[in-house]
This record gives sequence, structure tokens and C-alpha cells, in this order.
Amino acid sequence: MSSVTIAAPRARNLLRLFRNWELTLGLTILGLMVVSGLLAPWLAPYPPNQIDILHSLQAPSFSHIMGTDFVGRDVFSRVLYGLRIDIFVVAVITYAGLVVGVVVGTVAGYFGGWLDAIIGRVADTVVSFPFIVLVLAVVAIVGPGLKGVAIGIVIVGWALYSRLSRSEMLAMREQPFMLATRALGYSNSRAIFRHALPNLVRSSLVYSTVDVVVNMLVLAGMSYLGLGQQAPGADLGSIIASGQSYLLTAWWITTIPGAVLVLFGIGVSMIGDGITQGDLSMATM
Amino acid sequence: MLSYIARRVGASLLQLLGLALLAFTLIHLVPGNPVRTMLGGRASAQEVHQVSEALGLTKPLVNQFWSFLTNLITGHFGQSFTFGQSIGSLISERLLPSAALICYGTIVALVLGVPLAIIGALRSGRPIDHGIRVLTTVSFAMPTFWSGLVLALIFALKLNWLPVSGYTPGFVGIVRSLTLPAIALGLSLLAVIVRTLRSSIRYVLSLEYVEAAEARGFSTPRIMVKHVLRNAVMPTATVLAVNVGFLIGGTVVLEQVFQIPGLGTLLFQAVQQRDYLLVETLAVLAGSIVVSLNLLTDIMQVVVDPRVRMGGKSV
Repeated sequence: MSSVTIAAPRARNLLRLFRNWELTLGLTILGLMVVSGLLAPWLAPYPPNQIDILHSLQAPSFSHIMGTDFVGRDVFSRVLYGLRIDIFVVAVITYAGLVVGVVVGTVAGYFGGWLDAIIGRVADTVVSFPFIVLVLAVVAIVGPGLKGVAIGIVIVGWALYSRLSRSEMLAMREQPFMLATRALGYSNSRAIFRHALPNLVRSSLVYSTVDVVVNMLVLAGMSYLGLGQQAPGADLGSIIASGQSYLLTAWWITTIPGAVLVLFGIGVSMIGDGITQGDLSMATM
Repeated sequence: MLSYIARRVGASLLQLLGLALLAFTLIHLVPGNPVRTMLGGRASAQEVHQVSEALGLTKPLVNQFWSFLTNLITGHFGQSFTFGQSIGSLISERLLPSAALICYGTIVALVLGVPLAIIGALRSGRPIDHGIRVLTTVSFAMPTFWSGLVLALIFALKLNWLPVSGYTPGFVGIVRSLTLPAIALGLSLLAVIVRTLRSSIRYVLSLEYVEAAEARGFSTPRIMVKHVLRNAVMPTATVLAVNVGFLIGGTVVLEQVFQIPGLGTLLFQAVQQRDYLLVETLAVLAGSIVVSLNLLTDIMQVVVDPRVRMGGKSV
């Protein structure tokens, strides 16, 4: 909102350097995590589900850098595979929601009228459900597993993008270049998809950096509850849950995968903060 | 002002109707026979028919929705089959722990967040401001269940200050058993509070009347309390109301971590047992809490701030 007013140009340059530095660090963290997820089959020192009872609950060491769990599975290998599935699922569900929401919101804002009213009411309704409660309701129907969680998250996820795009479209509709599309006799679809969408997708993309973090936390939470990734598959939330009974004797099973989740969230948030002014107010729309 | 309030109430009622309709539709999307799924594979056809009849599932859909709606409004939520108890009494039994946890968590977030927001706004752009931003980024990225477990590891298992899990009634019991989950919940809310409040304080600080107060030689604390914070209260209240759904979600997970017998645990059990009527009722209940709190803050805003009142009229 309010612009940053700094007297000395040197300070401004320093601040800009900090911003760039933030973006660079965020991209580095996320990039490393994506790459290690993609390369999990090659990077993991052990098969993720290989049971080795003789070496169960071992503290982190050179042979098991994140220790082993209660049946001797290598936590590091499981974290790599967990990261792989979690990042994949989160990317798919977040951007599926974004595409649906942006298209629906733009169309609603472009045409207005009853279509807009209906879409607006539906979006309001979906948003007023507590996120996790709605996801849980969907899981109750679809059954436990990543599928139910993903469907639930997309059902909610599109609505915020729809609201965001609609309000941008309303402002854009009166701008000269959009009026020109009408004067030139372009079809509605050409005006929407070629001219309006490319201009209003930016704010949704920025918001998606917040959404990715939130969705990752919800996904991990559902897996923690045992409603997401099913055993023996590894997923960060379910690894954390599996260590809960051994919290005192084997702290590493719970704490390290969680720290990986936190690092992921920090990386993505830094990218978002680097692009914008670091304002979460959009998250609270 | 009255017409604005009337419009907002109308919109909220419509939203509540939408909530009920959405929950109702979702449950009826269950593939196959929901009663058969609920009772398990060994139930006889006669049992399935009996339960369907008792739930009113044999009536036409429109009638079903109508009775669902009227039952919700009159508070006759019906019977939970998995608990063998009326849903109304189940909810009233489980309400207190959840409500206490949400309130306690909000208090934690405010106690930590308000000072941080003030410091960040007053020292904006300085190292301490960046430090606070990094702190909120970290707290935003932490899964509540994980921070809850880490807190339990440190303060319950290692230091033995507080109980690891469980719930004890009574004021002291609630404070002791809910402190760790409330801190975890508060931390998850911290980022939103600090960032919103910080930017609204910064906005107010840039206004002329604050400059005038400075020119008159008022002390910084006096300006903060009497002139700035008063104007930053409403945005914070709005943010809290908008995020109550987020808090409810956090409670659902945290109640599992700390084994608190609240509404979140009830919902979780209902989902596992596929007690659809209970899931449906709890979801609508949670949604209506969010809707009514948002309505309340919007009305409060109109009453407190004449500018919004005028804005509401001209729209």
C-alpha cells in the first residue's frame, strides 16, 4: 500500500539487494528441494521401505544421516521420496485450482450479470467453510488417500483465485485496450484469453506462493492424521506421525522431516516476498 | 447504515443456505449406498433399509434437504449412529475444549503479535524489522501438528513442565493442558497478525494527524496508544474473523496431536467411521461460525467507523 520512503539512495540499493537476495535464496532452496525430490531414486542411499529391524531407532550417523525409524527404515531416503510425492501433489493441486479459478473469475468479471452473481455466491460459500473441515468432508466421501485430499483442496482452492481475477477483470474491463477489443469486433473468447488473461494472471501467480505453502501444510496435516498417503508409502506428514510414539527415544523421526517441511515453506515464502513487498494481506482475502 | 447492515445480513443468510446446500450435495455424492458404507459389509439388506428410513434417505431429495435445513435451524440435529447418541448432546459435550483452545490460541497470537507488529512498524526497514519478517515467515511455514510435537518434546517430555497430552476440565486444568497446543496454534496465526497489523500501523503513522500529534510534542507511547493503535484495531479484528476458519482447521489437527476430546476429534472420528450426518452437521456448524463472525465484524466496523458507514451507503 504505502510506498517505502528512504532518503539515502544507498540504503535503497541495500534494500533492493536484500530483496533480490531473498528471491535468489528462495529460488535456491526450492530448486534444491525439487531436484532432490526428482532425483530421489538416485540420491536415496536405501530403498525407502526397506525394513532392517536390527538397526531400528538409530540416531543420525554417517550411514543414516537422518537416523532410522522403528522398523529400521532410513529416514533420509523416506524424506526424499516423501518430498517427491508431496511437491508433485502440491504443485498439481495448487495450479489446477489456479487455472480453474482464474478462468472462472475472469469470465465472471467479463460478462457480469447473473453468471457473475452465481459464481460469486458459490465462491463465497466455499471460502466460508473452514478449509480443513471441507477437505475432511471430502475424504469422508472419497475415502482416505491422496486422491480425496487433492479433490478437497481443489474444491476450495479455485475460489480465492476466482475472486482475485474477477476483481481485476472488473477494473480491466473499462481500460482502453479492452474497450478496443470490442471496437475491433474481436470475439469474447479472444478478448478474454488473448488480452485480459495474460494481464491479470500475475496477481494470481504471486498469491499462489502463499497458497503452495498453505496447501503443503494441509496435505501434510491430512497425512499426519492418516487420511493422506497410505502406508507403507512415504510422505512427510506420515513420517512425522510414525515418529510420534518414539518422540522421547528417537526425536529425529519426527523433528527432521518437519524441519524439511518448514524449509520448503520458507523457500516458497521467500520467493513470494521477493516478488512483492512481503505483504500477507492477500492471503486473508 | 441500516440498509447496509440489512444487505450484509441477507448476504450472510444466503451464504449459510449455500453452506447447507453444499454439505448436503457433497454427502449425496457418495458413490453407492452411504448407509451400506456406514454400516459395513456385513449389514443385511433389511438393516440397511431400516437405517435409510430412519435417516429419511428414502424420501425425495428436495424433502430431504428441507428437513435437513429445518432440523439445523431448530437445533434437532438427529441421531449419530456410530455414537448412539444425539448429535446435539455430542456437540455440547465437546464444545468447551475446542472453544477454549481457539480462544487461548488467539490470545497467544495477539500477545506475541501486537508488540512485534508495533516494533516492526516503528523500525520499518531496519534490521529488527527484517528479523521480525523472517520470524513470521518461519512461523507461517511450520505445520501446527509438528510445532505441537516439538513443543511437547521440549516442555513436556524433557523439562516436564506441562502434560504431554490429554485434557483436564476446570480453569487450571484447561490452562495446563491447553498451553502447548495453544502456543502451536498461536504461532500458526502469528504471521498473518503481525503482517496485517504492521502495515496498517505504518499506514496510520504516515497520516497527517499523527504528524500533528508529533509536532505537539506528544510522546511516542502516547501517540501509539491514543492515536495509532485505535485505528489499527479494526483491521486486526477483521483479519481474526477471516482466519477463524483457519484456526478451526488447526484445532482439528492439534486435538489429535494432544488427544483433546473436542469437536475436532469428533469430526475426525466421524470421518473415520463415515458417519455422514455427523460430518455434514459439523461442517455446516463450522461454516456458520465463520460466516457469523465475519458478519459481526463487518457490522462492528460500520458502527465504529463512520467512514465505512458512508462508503456502505454510496455503494
